[in-house]
Amino acid sequence: MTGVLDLRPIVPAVIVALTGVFVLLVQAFTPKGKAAPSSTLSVTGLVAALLSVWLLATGGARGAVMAQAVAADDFALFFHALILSIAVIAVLLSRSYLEANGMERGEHYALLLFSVVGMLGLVSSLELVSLFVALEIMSIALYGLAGMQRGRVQSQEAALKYFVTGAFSSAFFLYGVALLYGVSGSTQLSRVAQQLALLSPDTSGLAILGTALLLVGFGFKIASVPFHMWVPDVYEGAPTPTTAFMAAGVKAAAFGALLRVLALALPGLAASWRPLVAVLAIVTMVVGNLAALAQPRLKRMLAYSSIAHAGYLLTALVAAPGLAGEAMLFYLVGYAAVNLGGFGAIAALAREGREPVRIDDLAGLAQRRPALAAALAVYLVSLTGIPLTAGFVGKFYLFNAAVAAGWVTLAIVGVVMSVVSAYYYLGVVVVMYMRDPVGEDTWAAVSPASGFALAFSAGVALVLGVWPAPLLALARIAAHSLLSSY
Amino acid sequence: MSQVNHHLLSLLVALPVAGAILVALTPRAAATLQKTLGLAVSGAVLALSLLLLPGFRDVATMQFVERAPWIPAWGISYYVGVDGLSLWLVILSTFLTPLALLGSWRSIHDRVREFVVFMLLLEAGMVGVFVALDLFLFYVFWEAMLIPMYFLIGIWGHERRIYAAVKFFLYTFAGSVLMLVAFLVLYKTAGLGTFGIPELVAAPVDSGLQVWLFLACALAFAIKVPMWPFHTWLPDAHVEAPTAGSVILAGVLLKMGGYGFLRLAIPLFPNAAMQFAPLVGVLAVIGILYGALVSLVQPDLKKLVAYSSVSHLGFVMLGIAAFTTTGLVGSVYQMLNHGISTGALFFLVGFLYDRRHTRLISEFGGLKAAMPWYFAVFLLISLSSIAVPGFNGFVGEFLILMGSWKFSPAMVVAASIGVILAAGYVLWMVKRVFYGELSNPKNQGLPDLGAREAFVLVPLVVLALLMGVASPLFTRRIEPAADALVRQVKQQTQPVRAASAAAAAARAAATGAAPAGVAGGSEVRR
Repeated sequence: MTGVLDLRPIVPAVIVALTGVFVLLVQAFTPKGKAAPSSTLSVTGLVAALLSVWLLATGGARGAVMAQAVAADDFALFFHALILSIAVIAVLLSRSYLEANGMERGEHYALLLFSVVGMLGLVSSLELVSLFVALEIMSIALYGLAGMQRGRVQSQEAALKYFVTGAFSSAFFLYGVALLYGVSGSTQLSRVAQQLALLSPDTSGLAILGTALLLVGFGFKIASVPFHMWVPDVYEGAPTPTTAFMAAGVKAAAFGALLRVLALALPGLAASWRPLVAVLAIVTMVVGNLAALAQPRLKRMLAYSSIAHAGYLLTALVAAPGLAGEAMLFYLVGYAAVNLGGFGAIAALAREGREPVRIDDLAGLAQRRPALAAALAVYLVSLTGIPLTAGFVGKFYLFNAAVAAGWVTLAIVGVVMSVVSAYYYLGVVVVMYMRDPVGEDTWAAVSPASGFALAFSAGVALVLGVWPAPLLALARIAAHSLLSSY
Repeated sequence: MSQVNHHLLSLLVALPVAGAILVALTPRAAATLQKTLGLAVSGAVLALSLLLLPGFRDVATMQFVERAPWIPAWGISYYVGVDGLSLWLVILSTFLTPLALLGSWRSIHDRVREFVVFMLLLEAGMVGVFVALDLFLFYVFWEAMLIPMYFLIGIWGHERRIYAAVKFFLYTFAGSVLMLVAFLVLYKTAGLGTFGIPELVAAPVDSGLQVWLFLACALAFAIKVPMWPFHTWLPDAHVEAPTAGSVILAGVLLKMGGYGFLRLAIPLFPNAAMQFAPLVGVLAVIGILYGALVSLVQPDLKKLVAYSSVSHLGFVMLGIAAFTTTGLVGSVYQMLNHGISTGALFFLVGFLYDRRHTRLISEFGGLKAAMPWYFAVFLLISLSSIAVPGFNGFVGEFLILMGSWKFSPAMVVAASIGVILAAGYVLWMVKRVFYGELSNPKNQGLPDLGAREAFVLVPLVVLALLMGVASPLFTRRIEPAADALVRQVKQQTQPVRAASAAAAAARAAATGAAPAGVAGGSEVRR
């Protein structure tokens, strides 16, 4: 492919971006008083993108690289499939929620699609500047998404808070990129690694500082302690389907990028960043879980839980490359499913501008919405990490990676914190199943689209718990492609 | 027929799950249909499990073995089988489940569908734990089973049910997560690339590491048994659970602790197990005496039965700690006895509660006159519980005490005091409930046992007597496996002991340092 730009790796992202533009145009040309078919268009575009991923994966383009900057390797394709599926579920969950809150506008879908473009770029970039651009595409679209509910102060607050901390973290990230460039003379991940290997001791300090700054930047995006302060407010304030999308999508994309950067560019500095990651993992697991214990509000509790899960994911990162990649890939799939489900279940109950806020608002849900309560129970059980759910197999994999790399302490902290988490996750189950419903049933009936999305998520959580072997095999292939050099 | 035999154990696990799915699909209001389906399915499972008996040979090897790759990348397989240690426990599980369903036919009228579903899932989990031969599979069943039990206590329990359900769950979950880490460390250290229990047993790890791994597993099992001082979840869970839940909890779930020691903790970590045997023995004896003394002062019938479990399970653990063939056979036997007699006692207390909605001993007195048949059954089961000769309890406790004599005469003497105390609290309770004047007007005209209740209790009474007079029918199937376990552990501990002592001596001689205690203990978390 010398001289010719191989555009195939960006085909899925282009499809999604064009769909986003199309959604905006269709809305502009829809006569007043009629609803634009934004969600249908979005799902169609995303499914088309998924199809293109499948064609890339099965056709000759597998492993293609565009301008040494964007790859369609197995790792990227795995994440493409995951992120696009997350987006489909998020779109399916959005419609009834937007209608219930009187915010049925095409911009929601367009921004969601644009942030998907950023996520797709994030997991396939082989180069630090493209990585940064992708990160910004994703983030700026999300700032808008978080603030879409203009009538609600919390939504505005969420957008502003997210924007300020996001910009702050981008600066850290960019500074880290600059330092690594200064030391290595390249922004190419593999070239950075080559150059770092030749470093003299007096410049390696700069490289370590650059790595640390990158970790801070990523720390904000993956919501690890101590860069997590924005998470509870933003997750609570943003419209619930957006929260679901952020919790699942941003985490997947950011972890994908982090894994690629650490494995491709910075393996030489592993001795320096590994202890750092281990400390981050422990602090994140402990703080996330203990803080979640004290939350009476549903979305806030799930926000802290997502922080805690960032901690579990970090435990495997100390084993990178090794088993870390495949373990994290597998875990992210299960995690995405149950987080979409958890936030999605709240969104599905929204009616006339109201949705369950406090955990107590779900009292007796098992008697009024047995199927929804059962699905939510499956998500919570999976988040706790009880066997026969994706959460258990995922944790088993993560902790196995940590133990195999000799970090038994991390696994012990992880399992002990899982016990703590059982208390607050099962607290919700207690409220749903063991308390009687209070007052009138004011929540919405679950719409077919939301119902499908929730059932699909619960199905993923259960199937991966009982029969994980096929996805494990895929995750392993994807993780291995990361290690083959460019 | 041979096809059935080849997949018998899988059927025992799969059939209840299939039944649960079927019941879940029935309309919510069809309560009778759901109960009937539940009973039919669990009855079929019982019938299938009895097919194990004709095919079972009295040898030490695993039988009815099935193995299929499950997660090949990690060497995890669906690997099941039974031997003498697990055979009767499987049958105990399949036996008590239909009885529990039948016993709560009337008392559960709320959300019947969910109740039956959870009971059937629980049955699948129990059988699964007893037949699993792969650590991963074992852990999956072990933990997955918590969920249905948690719902059973939390939804259909008594006043403090939510507290009891959460406590039960957190206690057992907290106990077992470290076991998971131990499995992972074992998997890595053994380096066999498999989670199969027989393979890992054949290749014991370094004895210093064994100590940590044993402690992690022992914590999980000690909480489940429960051994003193890890028993505090038990009274809450047993008392607050609905009758069916209490029966299954006491009858089967507690046995998983003892079984865990026999199947995993001891064979996998023989050196550490032998090292900690005296401690286990002491805790067991404390449990025997403590449980008995607390039972003596309970004003609540169900609490009394619950605490008596602590005492009875203490005997089981004493037999395991003594680690002789006789002691182990006694322990397994005592687990079965306890399942039958305590299961029956929980039924009896539950039936009384259905009538009077109280369990306070002081509310009763002179019931003998009002409910003669109930009294007769209660007395027989009480005699079985306090190990009167001719009943099953006697055989179990006798074997345990006999098998433990060489281990520690002092412990046997102390445990014998527990036998006497048991007679005290049970007979005193019987006296207060059944003898004397029928003074409380609310107790007059209480109906005696109905046909359904009798149908639940008669099999239990028959078994209690049969196991008392024809114990060889049962013990001869347990003995080869118990004997093989004792020999395996003896074989693995002796040479290693000698070798490690020699190594320690050599090191001490070489460095002139103080003699090392247990070699290699610091290698664990490198």
